[in-house]
Amino acid sequence: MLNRLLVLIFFLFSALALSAQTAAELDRLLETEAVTAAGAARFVLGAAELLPPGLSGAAAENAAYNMARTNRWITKEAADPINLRDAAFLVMNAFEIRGGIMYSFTRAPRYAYREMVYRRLIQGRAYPSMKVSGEQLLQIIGSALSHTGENELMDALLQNTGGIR
Amino acid sequence: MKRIYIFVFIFSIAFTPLFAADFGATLSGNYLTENLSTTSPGNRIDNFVGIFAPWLSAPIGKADFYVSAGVQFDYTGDSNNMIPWEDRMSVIPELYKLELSARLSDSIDIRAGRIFWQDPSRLVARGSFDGADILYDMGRARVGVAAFYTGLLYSDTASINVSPTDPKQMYYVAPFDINDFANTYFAPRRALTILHGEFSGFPYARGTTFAGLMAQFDLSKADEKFHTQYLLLRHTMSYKRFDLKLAGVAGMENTNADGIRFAFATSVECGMRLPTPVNDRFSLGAKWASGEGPNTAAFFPVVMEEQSRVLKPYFSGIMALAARYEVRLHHALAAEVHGQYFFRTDTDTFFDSGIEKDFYSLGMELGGSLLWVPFSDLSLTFGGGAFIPRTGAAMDTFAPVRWSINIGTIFSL
Repeated sequence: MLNRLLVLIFFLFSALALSAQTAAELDRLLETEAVTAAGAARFVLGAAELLPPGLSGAAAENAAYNMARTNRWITKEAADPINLRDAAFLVMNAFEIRGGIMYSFTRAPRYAYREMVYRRLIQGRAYPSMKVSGEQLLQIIGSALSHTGENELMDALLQNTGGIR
Repeated sequence: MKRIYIFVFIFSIAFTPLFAADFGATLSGNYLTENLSTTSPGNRIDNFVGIFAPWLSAPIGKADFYVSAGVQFDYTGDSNNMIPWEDRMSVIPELYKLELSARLSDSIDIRAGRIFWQDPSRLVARGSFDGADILYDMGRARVGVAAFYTGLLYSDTASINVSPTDPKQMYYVAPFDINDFANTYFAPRRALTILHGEFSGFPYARGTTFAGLMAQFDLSKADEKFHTQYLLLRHTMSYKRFDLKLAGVAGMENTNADGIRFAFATSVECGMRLPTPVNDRFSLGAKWASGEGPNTAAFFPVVMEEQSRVLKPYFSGIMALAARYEVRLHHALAAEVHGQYFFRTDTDTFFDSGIEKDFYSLGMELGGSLLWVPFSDLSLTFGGGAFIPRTGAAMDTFAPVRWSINIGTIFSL
C-alpha cells in the first residue's frame, strides 16, 4: 500500500506531462490488475504530451486510443487487456525512443519489448505476454520519462558545449 | 481417434506456458589470430568461431524457464599449412543454458539445470555446471547449498581440470570428433557439493564476506580417485572512491601415494575510481597459487581458467602481479588496458616450451580490449595482447614476442 501511495504522489508532483490526469483516474489505475488498451493509450500519450490539453476521463481515453490506433501503435480492441509487449511498443512510439537494429527494420512489438528490457525501462519479472497492471504501467511511464528527460538534457548540454553524442 | 484427442490435449497442456514465451537467437563470430610460437615469429594461427544459438524463455507458473542451445562452427588454419585440411574444421553442438528458477517462498530461491555458477572465492570453479543451487535469504545473510555434475558438459568450454591420477593427464586428448562423440566431447566427470554463504556488513558495516566449504569428487575411470576439499573465502569492501577485494582458498587432497596434502591460493585487488570527468578506474592486484613443494601441493582448481590472453597459464603453481585501467568513454563504448607480470611458484606445475632456465620469473604480458555496443542487439569487441619472454629470467632471452589479436561480434535476433 505504501509503495502504491508513493507512486501516486510521485506522478502527481512530477513533470507537467501528467498534470491533465486527475487523482481519481490515477487511483483507479493503481487498483487495476490488467490495464486495457484504451487505458494504456490514455496514460502513455498523456505523459508524452500528445493529447490535446484539457481532456480527461472517457474523452481522453477515446482520443488517445483513436490516435494510437490511427498511428498503428496499438492493434488490440479498446477494451482488451494490453500485454507488456504491446505496451512497450506503445511507449517506444509515443516517446520516440530509438531501438536496436531489429526494431528499426521490423518495427515489431517484440523488439520494442526487448529494447525496453535492455534499457531497464521494464524492470522485475517480465514476459512479453504478461498482462500489465496499473502500477506497472506507471512504473514504465516513469522510466520512459526519466530516460527521455536524461537524453534531452544530454542533447542540450552537448549542444551548448559543442560535444559529439 | 480417442488417442489423438488425448495426445492433442496433453500436448496443449504441456506447451501452454510456451504461448507466453519469448524466443530469439544469437549469432556470434570471433576471429582470432595469434603467434604463440617460442621459436619462430612467423608461425601464425588463425581461428574463426561462429555460433548460432536459438533460445526460449517462458514462465511456468511462478517459475521461469530458459533454454539456449546451438551449434558452433570452428575453423583453424596456420600460416605454414601444418594443420591437415580434415582437422581444420569442426561443427560442435552444445547446450549453453537450461535453467529453471523459482521462488519457493519469500526467502527461498532455487535454480536448477545447466546454470552459471561460481564458488565464493571465484578461484576454484566458475562457469556453467549441471545441478542445482538453493538459497535461503535471512536478511543480512544468505546461505545456500549446491550440487553439480560436470560429466555432461562440453570439455573445451567447461575446461574441467584433469586430476593427476587420470590417464588423460598422461596422454594427448584428441579434439572433438563427431565420429567419436562419446570419447571426445564430454568433460572429465566430477561431482561438486558446496555449502556457501554471503554475509553483508560482516565483519564491519562497509564489508561483505563470502564463505564456503566445497567437496570435489573424482568420478573418472582412474584407478586412484583424486578427491579434494576446499575452504573458500572472499571479502569485498568499498569506501568513497576506493574498493578492495580479497580472496583465499585452502585446499586439501588425499592420495595413497602422498597422503593428506594442502594447497593454497589467494588474490587481492585494490581499485580506485579516478577523479576525472569520465567513468574510469585504476587497480593493482596480485594472485598466487601454490606449487609442488615440501609443505604444499600444487593448487588444484576445478576449472582451468586461463589467467591471460597470450601466455595462458592456469591458476596452479603461478603468481601474477597486475595493473589495470578501465574506462567507460560513452554509454556504448568501454575500454581497458592492463599489464601483468608472471612468476611460477615451483618448477614442475606450469609447463611452457619457452622455459629454459631454473628461475621463477616468467615475464610480462601487456594487453587491452575495446567494447562497442552501437545498438542494443549488436556488440563488437576488439582485443589484443603481447607476451615478452625476454622480460622473464626463466625464458629464452632470444625468443620472439608472442601476440594475439581477436575481433568479435554478437548479434541478437
